[in-house]
Amino acid sequence: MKPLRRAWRRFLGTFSGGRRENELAAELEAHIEMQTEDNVRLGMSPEGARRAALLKFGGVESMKERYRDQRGLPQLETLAQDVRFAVRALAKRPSFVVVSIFSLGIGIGVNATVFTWFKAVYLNPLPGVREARKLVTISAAYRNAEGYSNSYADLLYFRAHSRLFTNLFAHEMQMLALSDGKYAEMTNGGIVSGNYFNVLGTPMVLGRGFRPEEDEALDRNPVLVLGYGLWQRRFAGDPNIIGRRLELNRIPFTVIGVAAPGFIGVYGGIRQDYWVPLHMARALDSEHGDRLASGSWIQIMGRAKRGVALAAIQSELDVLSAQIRRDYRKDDREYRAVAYPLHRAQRGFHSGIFQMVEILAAAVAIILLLACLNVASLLIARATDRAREISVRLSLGASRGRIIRQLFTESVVLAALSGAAGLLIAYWTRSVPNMLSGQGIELYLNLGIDWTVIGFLFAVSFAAAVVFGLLPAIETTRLNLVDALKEGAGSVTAGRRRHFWRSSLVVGQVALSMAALVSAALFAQHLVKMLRTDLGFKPQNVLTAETDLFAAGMNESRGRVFYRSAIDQLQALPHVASAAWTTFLPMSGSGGGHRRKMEVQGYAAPDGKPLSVVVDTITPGFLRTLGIQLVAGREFEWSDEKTAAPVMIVNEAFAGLYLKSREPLGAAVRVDGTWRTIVGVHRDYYYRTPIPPPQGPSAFLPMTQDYSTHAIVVVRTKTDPSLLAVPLRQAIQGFDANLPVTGMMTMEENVGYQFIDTKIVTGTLILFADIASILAAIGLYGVLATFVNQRRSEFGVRTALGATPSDLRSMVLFQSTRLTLIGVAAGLLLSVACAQLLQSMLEGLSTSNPAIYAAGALGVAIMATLSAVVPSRTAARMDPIVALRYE
Amino acid sequence: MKDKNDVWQGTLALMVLKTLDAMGPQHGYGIARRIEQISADRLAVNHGTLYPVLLKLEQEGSISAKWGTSENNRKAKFYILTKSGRKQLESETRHWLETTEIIARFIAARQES
Repeated sequence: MKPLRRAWRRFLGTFSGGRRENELAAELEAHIEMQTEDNVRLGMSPEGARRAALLKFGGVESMKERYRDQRGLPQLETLAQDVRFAVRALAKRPSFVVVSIFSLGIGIGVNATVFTWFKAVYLNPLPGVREARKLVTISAAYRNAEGYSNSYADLLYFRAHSRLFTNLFAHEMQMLALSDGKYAEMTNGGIVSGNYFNVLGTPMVLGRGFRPEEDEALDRNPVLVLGYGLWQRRFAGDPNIIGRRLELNRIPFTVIGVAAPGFIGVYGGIRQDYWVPLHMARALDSEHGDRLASGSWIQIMGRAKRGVALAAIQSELDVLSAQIRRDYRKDDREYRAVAYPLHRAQRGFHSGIFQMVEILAAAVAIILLLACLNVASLLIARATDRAREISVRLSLGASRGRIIRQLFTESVVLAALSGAAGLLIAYWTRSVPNMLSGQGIELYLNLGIDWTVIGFLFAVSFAAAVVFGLLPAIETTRLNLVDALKEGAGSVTAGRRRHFWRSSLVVGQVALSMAALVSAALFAQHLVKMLRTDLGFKPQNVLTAETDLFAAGMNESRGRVFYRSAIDQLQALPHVASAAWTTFLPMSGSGGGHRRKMEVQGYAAPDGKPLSVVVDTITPGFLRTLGIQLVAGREFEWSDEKTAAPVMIVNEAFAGLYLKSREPLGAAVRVDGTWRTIVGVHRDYYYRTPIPPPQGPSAFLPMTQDYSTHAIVVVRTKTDPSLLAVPLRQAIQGFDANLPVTGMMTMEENVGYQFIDTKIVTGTLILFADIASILAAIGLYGVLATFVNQRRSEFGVRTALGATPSDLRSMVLFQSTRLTLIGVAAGLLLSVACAQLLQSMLEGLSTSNPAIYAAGALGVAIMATLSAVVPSRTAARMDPIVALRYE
Repeated sequence: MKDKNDVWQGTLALMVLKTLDAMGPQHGYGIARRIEQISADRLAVNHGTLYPVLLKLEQEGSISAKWGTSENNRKAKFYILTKSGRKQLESETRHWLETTEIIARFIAARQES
């Protein structure tokens, strides 16, 4: 206790210099005078008395010194001294400080920004979840295709047979019509197993989470936990919400709890508004029957036992997958369960952004390095200016270490100021992913600036100070005292060495900025290639919207009437070319992909088992509306009624695989027990992702013969599709006001959804590459400016001897070109290395286009030329008289 | 050198505490005089060495200081024993007595053998 208290008092004592000093002097003076008085009383002469008193006291000054050492913390005092000195020294050089803080602030700021993204997807991805990073997700995989959903049977199987998990839970989300009796709106509901909140450890602000027994029997427990956001927004934070009845898709539920603020579910980046038990899923969706008994639609997550590695889980899953293939997934010979850590979970946006952060981390590290090189270069340039100051201090007896420490303190002060600037930059730029993701897409990322971010900023700033400050500090104190004290003579060797250092730094900067430019260009090329891919359909001028007839409580016969009349009404509008319904939109994030059992007449499957083919349901005119080319036969007609002959349309891949060398039109295929005739064949299109090949075999059924309560309307317009938003809503809700209209967006926006990650990363990389080039330009400019400045007298002499301004200019340009060329050569090597690295990170990235590298080199060359303009003009305009007098 | 200093500071600290305990609030000069008197001038030390000890005791919270007026109407800094200082005095006195007793026994034992 006592030493601690003393340390604290000494710490405080450090900051109360002046007053304490006077007090000490007064106290000692009182002491000596009292002694003097006593001595006088004993009969001494006044002077003798005082001398004796001083003698008795001992050395006053040495005692004071000892006292002072004990009063405060001397190391701290020296540090404070250094900081004060550093601030004064920096204040004398405002332009140096501004350039340095500009460079470093950007460098540190972009690092902090990317760190907040890293935090949002890795460190603290799920607010309101206990130890979120320890969650493991399990997805199904087939051959090379990963990230498929699981079935409820899988959950039960893993629960029963896995020994490495303490808990496993299931979750999925679904758009549902939420009504409180006044009005209904489409909301995003989480459908989750009973142990969901227990395993996640989510606190409740009101009521309670689910009990496991509430998720054991079908339809038995219509209970609901509200999300904090919806509770605030729709119910104004009503404290009496518990026990309230709400309707989801017309089914009454009771509110039992409100989850903690910040908790939005475990679908990375996507907000869920409330949660209901898994055993209510059947009631909420009429189409798929008991979805717990069949169908793969849930996501499985769990917590591994302490100390269990992911690899161990995967090998256990491999064993269980083999058993599952034997036990109940007999048709899926390629089924495999794959475990992922949370930041690679196959659903939501986190894994995509994490991959992006990995790439961007390298980019921002380069930017910071460039900024550090800039400041280091400026500091080395200052070394020449400060040579006299330093040499005076050295000759007065300051140790070199002491001066290095003091110079380094200057760097730390500079870094701290830049760190503060960086914090501002990070604050403004952290939501860039939301901005770049495109309209209509809401990303919910945990982008708050918290202590981890601030701590990271501090660490980066200090590390930067070490990088840019130490070498210049050592270089600055490396002096030949005699030379340095002789004004003007300068140390030729030191000058050369410094010039070499600075030139090397600039070469490094040129190389790094070229690598950054090339990387950004590679991404841009990749993005353009993806955007230009012929998708097999035409996304321009198409408007889409979703509705749900079940949510509106509409029965089948009325639904059939609605589908037909909505299309008729839309096609009657002057700006509409055509319109149709579908159950799945190509290149959209969710839905679709439902496989059905098929048997093709005349085709023998290799193992005699029924085929499993992706089937979607459409109304007449869908292929025309979306611009999918029909290669043979016809589209569906409204006359393909329920009672008419069953028909279907297949894609070319289907025809090629199962109807080889046969006429596909008229061929018979049995789909879920019904024999159908193929009436059309359409061109393949990209189904979900723009990565080739487009799509395996797939088939369309007519909505008239395969009714669905959930459908998406597609409208091809003759004008700007967004103008049709109001008439489209009218066509749906004019029929029945209860019909929800959601996800209204153009097809181009919808397709853009697939490119979010690449768009964000490309946009950011281009921005970063520009920043890198600007920093490199500043560095090159600095070196050239010093080059000109230090050679004033030389230029003067040259001019006096007859050199023309253009001679001088070309001297500077030669210097600039030489550095740039070496930099470009190094940059080329670095770019190739970067390209290899990026290729390993991003599938399908092509790195072989030489034009890209040429463009990078050109960009750097332009940057170099621009930064040489001012110094070369200064050199050319140098007045010989002034230049010579300068010495 | 440093160790010796520490020992000396420690002993001096005990004397300061005991003095303040016996005399009540006292200024630096008074404490120095008192120590000289008690030791019957056998302990002739530079008065200056007292002040770092006073500072250390103050920082540890064993004594507190306050400006006041001396008997000759001079402004002086007076030191007062605090509650925790009294406790420290008790424990250190006990410790000191034990130590001296043990040392005395050692010295006596050597004489016997």
